[in-house]
Amino acid sequence: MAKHATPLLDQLETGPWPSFVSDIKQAAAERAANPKGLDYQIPVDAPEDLLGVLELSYEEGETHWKHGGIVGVFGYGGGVIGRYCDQPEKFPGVAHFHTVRVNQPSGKYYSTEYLRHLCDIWDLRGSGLTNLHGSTGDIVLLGTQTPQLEEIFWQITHEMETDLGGSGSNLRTPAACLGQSRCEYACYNTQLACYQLTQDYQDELHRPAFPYKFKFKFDGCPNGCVASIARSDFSVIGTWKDDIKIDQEAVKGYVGGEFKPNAGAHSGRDWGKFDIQKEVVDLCPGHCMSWDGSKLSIDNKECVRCMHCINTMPRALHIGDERGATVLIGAKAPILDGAQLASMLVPFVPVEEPFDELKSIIEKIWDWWMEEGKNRERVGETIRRLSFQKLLEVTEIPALPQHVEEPRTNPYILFKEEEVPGGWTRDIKAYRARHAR
Amino acid sequence: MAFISTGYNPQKPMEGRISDIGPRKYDSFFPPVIAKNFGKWLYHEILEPGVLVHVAESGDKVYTVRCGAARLMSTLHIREICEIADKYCGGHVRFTTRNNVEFMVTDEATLKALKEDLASRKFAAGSYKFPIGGTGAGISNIVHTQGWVHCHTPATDASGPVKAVMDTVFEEFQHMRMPAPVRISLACCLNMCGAVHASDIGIVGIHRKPPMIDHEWVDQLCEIPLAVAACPVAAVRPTKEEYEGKKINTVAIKSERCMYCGNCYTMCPALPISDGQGGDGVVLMVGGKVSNRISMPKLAKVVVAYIPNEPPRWPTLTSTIKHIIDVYARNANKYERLGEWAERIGWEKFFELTDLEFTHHIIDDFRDPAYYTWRQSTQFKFSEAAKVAYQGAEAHEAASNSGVTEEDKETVLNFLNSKSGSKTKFYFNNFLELFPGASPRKVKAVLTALVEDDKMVYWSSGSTTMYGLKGAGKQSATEEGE
Repeated sequence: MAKHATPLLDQLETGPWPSFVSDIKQAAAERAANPKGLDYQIPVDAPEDLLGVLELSYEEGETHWKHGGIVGVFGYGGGVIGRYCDQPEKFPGVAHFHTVRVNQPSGKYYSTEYLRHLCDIWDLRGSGLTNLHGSTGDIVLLGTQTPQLEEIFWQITHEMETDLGGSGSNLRTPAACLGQSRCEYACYNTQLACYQLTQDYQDELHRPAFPYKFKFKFDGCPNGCVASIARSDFSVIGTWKDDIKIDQEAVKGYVGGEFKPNAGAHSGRDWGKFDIQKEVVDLCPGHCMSWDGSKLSIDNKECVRCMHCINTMPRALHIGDERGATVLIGAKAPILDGAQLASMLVPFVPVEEPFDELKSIIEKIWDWWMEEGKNRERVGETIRRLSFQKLLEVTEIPALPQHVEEPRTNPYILFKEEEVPGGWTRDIKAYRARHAR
Repeated sequence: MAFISTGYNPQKPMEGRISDIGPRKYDSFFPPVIAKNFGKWLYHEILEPGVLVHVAESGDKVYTVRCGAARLMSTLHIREICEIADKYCGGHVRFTTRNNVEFMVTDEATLKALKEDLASRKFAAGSYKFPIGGTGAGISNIVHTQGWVHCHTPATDASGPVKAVMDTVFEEFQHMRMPAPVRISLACCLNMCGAVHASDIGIVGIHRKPPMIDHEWVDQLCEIPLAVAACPVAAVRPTKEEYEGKKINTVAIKSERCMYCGNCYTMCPALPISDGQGGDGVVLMVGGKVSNRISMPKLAKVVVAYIPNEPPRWPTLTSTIKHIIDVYARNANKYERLGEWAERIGWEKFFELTDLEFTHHIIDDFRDPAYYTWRQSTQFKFSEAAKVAYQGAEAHEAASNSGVTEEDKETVLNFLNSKSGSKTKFYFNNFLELFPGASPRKVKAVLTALVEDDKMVYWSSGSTTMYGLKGAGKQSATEEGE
């Protein structure tokens, strides 16, 4: 018998999609039965009380969670988010229900041994409920109490060689697509870049000193599966400088119907016979392709590397060999000054160990933003407030037409004083000698 | 419960401490086929919805089965994933950015057994534990946030609406018959922990009422300057109030400026903003994308300004999304993402085809970027509403009927004479205050009559024109002295 009646939540158990309510219920029952005889370190009925408080929210349409607080592990300013229920008498099992963010391995591959170890710790010391994963990428352990935090931290560091992730005004847990581990489009080793920068910036990740959050994300190619261009302050997207490699025989394979176009992604509907002219050549945003009936040609200097032709004929077309990444800066969600996609800053950067080029750009931006950024201002907003030119200046990058979609339409140009002969100090008397008042 | 210590000593927190080690290195978790062929993949193909094969230069193949999951997951469920991964995948598994679970195998026989096993597993009440799908031109899993499960600022739940929406579009999760991938995301408030603002369909929780002020507690729970500085539109200011006979420090909020972002509440818990009585709900945004494929990445656009929270199954939300997807699937070209389709046909056509009501809320009014979303062109497509000719010719007759009386002139002259000691040049709108309720064109007629009477003059900088009494003012003397 469930502790709380949840008639509203029960309606989320129907339908085909995996029901989180069913999962929490099975977890609650398992926890109550306690087949392993665990000496649970937080209330056994935490999952039941979570359902109870959620049911109350479903009745009222309002959350019952209070603000964060100062809980955390010694010496770290992030990784734990304090969470308290505002109805602790009714739901004592979740009265204190802190979140622990655990830094996921890049690309989110796991061994079952690792996952089970995490489950063992979390069954004993927490609610047994998780998010796999949080939006930023962390393994999110959902709900424990303050005395358990150091114990959990001890166990994950000592037993699992794993650290906490980021929260608050620090470097947030970086994330990468699966990259070269299983994708032929990856232009650099996204997982290694993500791993190495996470390691090298552990201090920034754990000890907040930024005006607000700062996120790195690593996409292996312009398809952007990890959405770095939309949600990271520092977005690294793989690209190449030379020519797309063409296997003309394989192109004919697609034209002749031997291979499924778009890697089979459209196979659920009859779109008619594959038409390379209409589906590839005519859709190319660089207008740089042609098909003469037997040969596909690409004028690579006009190519904008959108990935469409490669996505459509992955057996025939491959990314070039002079690989690296484009760096874009300043993506963010609406809070505060509206949503922004990241803006292109560095057209091409090599992305190879030890990643010193990336680090130089990052550190120049940090030095500037930590000084000039207002509290709770993402770097994208600082750039808008102080200008893209300022970003170029602090990163010592020359202005390029690639930085803009079009030149400015207003002539309100802020010249630097040294750019103007004679500077800004002028002689009013000399002026009046030329012009009567 | 007996406290179980691991060895951590609160008296000596640094003793034996391990910190700053970061995550485990990713390659320690690779299945052998992934480790062996790292960086050497040649091409891939989606064999059927949810099943991919990647082929390496070595000729090795890895088959991946992708399954949907609720990202809110118990250890019991994770242990079940582990059991499957042990049985079929050599003890390896991975998760995707969109909360899917991926099981990888290297031969077709194991693939077949794995698929059958996954498809057979259900929760007690009947939902699938591991629905296979989420690939190609279909609808993948929803990226989402915490909602009422665990967050302090949400305007809606996350896991519940996600479950309801995925149930509604479940067939498309298991098919690949859309014109292009459709990415759905949900954020339970404007903080948007996730790329909701650049998804094909974004569900965003919004508040619609300014925060309440818990005056008694503001100064005790919050640092008032932080709460004031947190407001992006300067609607919060510090103030002193009389509260139950005591003078207290608190804040005042200009409600008409507030855009309900909740940022002040994040900094000050005495400014609660959530409202289950008609305030909170969701906005529906469409047409965003993060991929650079064909067209550049784009932000999603608001197409429904408010849908109420309807727990537990959010029927208006789910039916609206289903409808938009159906119309898109019927009308878009192959490869065309939802936003690309809407841009090609024009947003006016999007509203016509989807029959969504276009209300004033959908026109941007937030800062400078708003202007760039208005139409600076005569190019548009007619819809039924736009075809209706402008009506209101009678207003002209009503407003322009204005005789000027001597009394009107006296009013202006008295005003000018009363100010002549300090100010001699006036903008037109300074005179409107003298004739409350009158049409501006009536006031202009009074001024024109005074100029014709040679009592008033125009003063012009060349770009701006002002009015004054003839002969008054500093410059008047220099000009007339010539």
